[in-house]
Amino acid sequence: MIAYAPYLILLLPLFAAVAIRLFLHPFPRIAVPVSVAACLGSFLGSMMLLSSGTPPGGMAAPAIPWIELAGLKAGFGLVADPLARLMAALVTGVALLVQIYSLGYLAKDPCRSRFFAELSLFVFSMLGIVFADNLVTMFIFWELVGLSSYLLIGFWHERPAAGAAANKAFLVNRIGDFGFILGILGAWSLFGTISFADLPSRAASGAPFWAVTAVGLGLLCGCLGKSAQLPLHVWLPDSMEGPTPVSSLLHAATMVVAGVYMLIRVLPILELSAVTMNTIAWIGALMTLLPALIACQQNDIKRILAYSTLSEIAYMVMAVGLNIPGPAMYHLVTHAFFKCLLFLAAGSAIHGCHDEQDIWKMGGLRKRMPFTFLVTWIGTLALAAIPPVSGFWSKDAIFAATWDRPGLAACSMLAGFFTSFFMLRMILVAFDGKPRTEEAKHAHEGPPVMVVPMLILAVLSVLSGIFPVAEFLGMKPDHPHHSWTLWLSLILAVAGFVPAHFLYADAVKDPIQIRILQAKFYVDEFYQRALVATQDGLGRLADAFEGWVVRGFVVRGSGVLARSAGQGLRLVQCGQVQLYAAVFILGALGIITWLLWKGAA
Amino acid sequence: MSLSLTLPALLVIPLVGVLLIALGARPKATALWTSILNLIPGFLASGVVLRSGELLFGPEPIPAREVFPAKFILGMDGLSLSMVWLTLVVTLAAIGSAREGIKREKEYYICLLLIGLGALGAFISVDLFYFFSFHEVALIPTFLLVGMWGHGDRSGAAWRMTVYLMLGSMILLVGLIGLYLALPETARSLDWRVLAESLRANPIAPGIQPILAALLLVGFGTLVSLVPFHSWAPGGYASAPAPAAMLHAGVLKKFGLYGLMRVALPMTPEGWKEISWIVGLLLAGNILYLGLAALQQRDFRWLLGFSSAMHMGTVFLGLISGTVLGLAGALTLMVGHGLSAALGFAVAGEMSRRTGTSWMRDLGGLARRTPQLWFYLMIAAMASIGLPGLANFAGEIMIFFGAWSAHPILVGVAAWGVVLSAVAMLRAVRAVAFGPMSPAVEAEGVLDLRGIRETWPFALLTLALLVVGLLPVVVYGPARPVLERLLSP
Repeated sequence: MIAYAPYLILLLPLFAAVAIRLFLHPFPRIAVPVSVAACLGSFLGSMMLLSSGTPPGGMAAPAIPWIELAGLKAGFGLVADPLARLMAALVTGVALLVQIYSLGYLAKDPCRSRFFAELSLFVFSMLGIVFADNLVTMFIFWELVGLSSYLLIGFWHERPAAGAAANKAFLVNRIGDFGFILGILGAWSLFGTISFADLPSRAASGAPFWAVTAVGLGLLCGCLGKSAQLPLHVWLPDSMEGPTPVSSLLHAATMVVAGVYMLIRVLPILELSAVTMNTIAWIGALMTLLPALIACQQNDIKRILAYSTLSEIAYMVMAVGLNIPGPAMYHLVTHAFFKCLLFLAAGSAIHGCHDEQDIWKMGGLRKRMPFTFLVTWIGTLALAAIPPVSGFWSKDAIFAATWDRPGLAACSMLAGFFTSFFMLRMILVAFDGKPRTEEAKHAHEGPPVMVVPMLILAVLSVLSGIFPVAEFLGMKPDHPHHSWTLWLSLILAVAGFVPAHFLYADAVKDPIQIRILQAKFYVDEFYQRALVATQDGLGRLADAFEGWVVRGFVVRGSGVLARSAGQGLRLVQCGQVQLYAAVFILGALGIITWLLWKGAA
Repeated sequence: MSLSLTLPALLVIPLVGVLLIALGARPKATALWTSILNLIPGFLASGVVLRSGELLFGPEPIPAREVFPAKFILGMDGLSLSMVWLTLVVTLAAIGSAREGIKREKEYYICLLLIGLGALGAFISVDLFYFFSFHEVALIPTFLLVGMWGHGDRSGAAWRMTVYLMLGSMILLVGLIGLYLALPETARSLDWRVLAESLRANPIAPGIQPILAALLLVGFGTLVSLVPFHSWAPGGYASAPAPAAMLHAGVLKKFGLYGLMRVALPMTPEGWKEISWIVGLLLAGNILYLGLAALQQRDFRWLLGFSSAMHMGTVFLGLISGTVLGLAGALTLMVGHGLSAALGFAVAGEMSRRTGTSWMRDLGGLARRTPQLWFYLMIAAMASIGLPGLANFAGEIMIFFGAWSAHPILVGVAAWGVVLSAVAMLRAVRAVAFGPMSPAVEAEGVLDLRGIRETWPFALLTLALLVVGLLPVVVYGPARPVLERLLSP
């Protein structure tokens, strides 16, 4: 019975999405509760699944066949191992809170039926990634998640920037998926399986080093796209054009960590190659630091948080590269709570200031929105890894593993310093001082449906550190804990607050201006000039050649052709369609018959 | 009544429709009802094929010398099954979305019915002569539709199509006759079942096989818009009235692929192996060259034309994969592409009918103005860029897996093609649907699709895309024994 629970958890949000699309679209008063109820159902199911023990024979429900042909057996198979159960509870729980929050955030939007339908579609797709028991199923839902992200980023159709950001997100992800699908094909041909359950035994069978490295790097590409890591990170900051609940659920708490989740699933393949593992670890380490630097010079409250998301996911990626999946998942869980909280709080501030996102146009919100101020502080402490709040425990588990890798330790701990810096900068500028605009003067807290989810997330942000995630997953790290990593990282994190306080307390404009950080290291410009322009240039060339060939054909096509064309078309135009057709058919038939007759004789 | 009569019924019913319209019956209603009625023999014939694998109508083949060797034999097996259904569904949708009250309405609907009729005839003909001729029957009304009811440079487009496709057909004909003549006189036949058997017993000399294979490749390839014989396609589709583009891109084009699968691959296997590197190059051309050109299109219909021609490259990859998985993928993608191209052209037709333009520069904000139309635009775009759940993805993934061991680099090219087509399509969707409303879109009288009367052809195609995408076994399952036979030496 319980083996079918994943199907139920998975399909409820899909039913909600389909029902809204087909029937409930014009009635938001029914559509919205249906969506929330479906999410609640999935959440309750996930919690039941989480609290139930695994029966001895495993928990695989029968797969639904999809393609079964010589060599390939790809079905929709769902697996509910501890990893999937933990992730499902997390996804549905956060999704439920965000949906409730959206009741208030989008209360006046005429398109909210569509919003909730798309949100339900996302929950369905994300749960598909979570429960997938093989690579092809995961890829299928991977793409569906990409679609829902595209739709939700572009939710406000009439904003040109939203359309641009949606496209960018989808296309950059497609580039990652290009590597991902080749990696899947490679894994299939090397190990003869696409099933996660078979990977550990098949992977041990021994394959050429270059091949396992190539496959590992291919699979990594999928993660680089979905989890927005170097060099495919450019879409995530832009995705902030979507409504804030979307940024909070998809682009902070759940969707963007799917890449990490996938890496943990395919870890048996990645482990085979030290090159792959080192690449992952170093991409992670660099990506903890670079976005943290960029965030220090951003002014849009959501973009600041988006860059910090990049940096936090990078900790998880680095942990995978260090082969400590337990701490990676641990940080994934705590991060989901505190980052979701920070985004909802930012959304509350934006909502309160009537859609103002520039922190320099806020100010003084502490007095008008004390609750938002408080939860932002809680989220900040968790993000900056200050004990005893949850983020400290999960980050410490990752730092501990860098004790013999000084390069990785330096990058990631320095990133902690800048994280504290830019978070305090954000709080001081947005919440402290005096209101700098009319809107900020009249800011107010949102309705209870927005406050209560933040409250719950705040509690979880403080306490979620006590969840024994690694033990639950059976992934306890086996190396010793060196206390210097703890002290050094903690000192750096606290130190980051100091310059921020001196620079930004009561500042009315930014005292430091660093061009290269404001321009995000010019990566977007580089891609635009080098890659997009090249591809478009080639496209123009192809198009011009195409036009030339076509025109050339027409111009140089002999006069006879042109004349007979004229004749044929005149027949058409004077109404002799039937005659024309009949002559054509008879002529063709005559020639064929003659040829055949000659051949037969 | 013998169920084998359902096969000629598939052809007679549209023919009756043509006659009734010619005699003055209401064109659209008649065309629509005959297309709906034609589903009945379709169902019955499919039932037999699913139960016993094959359904035949016509005289038993006698390998005797005769003056005129062609015989009117109709047959349906698991491979033709999905092609027949593709034709039935797309014809229904094309006629359903065709407009009323246009000039020469009678001829317009007769032409549409004839394309469907010709395609059905080609897909259920067992005799090569009729196989070829039915396709010609369908081509001519296509030219007429483009030339008479098209837009833009319609006479140029129609003429280009005519020249290319007729030349292609002639080369194809030479190839087919070559196959026939390559056999000793006593073993000759135009019935492809007999022909295949005879060729198995008397293989064509290795020196001749590549020549025949190349003739068939060029002939069928032209019909499928294989690079460099593709130039007729984008402009032709851009100029064609929407139902004609739906029928040609959706159904008739598949004739070439079907022919390659049915005739060229099994009958000249050695020659095919010999030229497979050329096919590889050409199909990479389809994917990369046409994909890049698609990026630069300014007119939505041209974009669809390029993107439709581009995806043929992936189908060719399935054809040369040499595995059942790859062939099954090619078949699934043929169906998926047929449905998604039809949906795309239907949406483009509605769009330009309502706003008066298909220039992407002049459009914008359709998502807000016409949400229903936008929904189907998204479905068409997502299907063509290979979103899982829709038919094209199932076909593509099977092709990728099936061709991986023989052609890993081409699989890489095809996978990059997925990226290219996503770039082209999503840019177009953004230009057309997002952003503030353009004057053309905001103009008074721009209405959304309304009610079941206007939406059902779109819903029908969407449903078919979903069914094949979620249960691709409906396509490859019945075809599997046929495909295995095609590959067995």
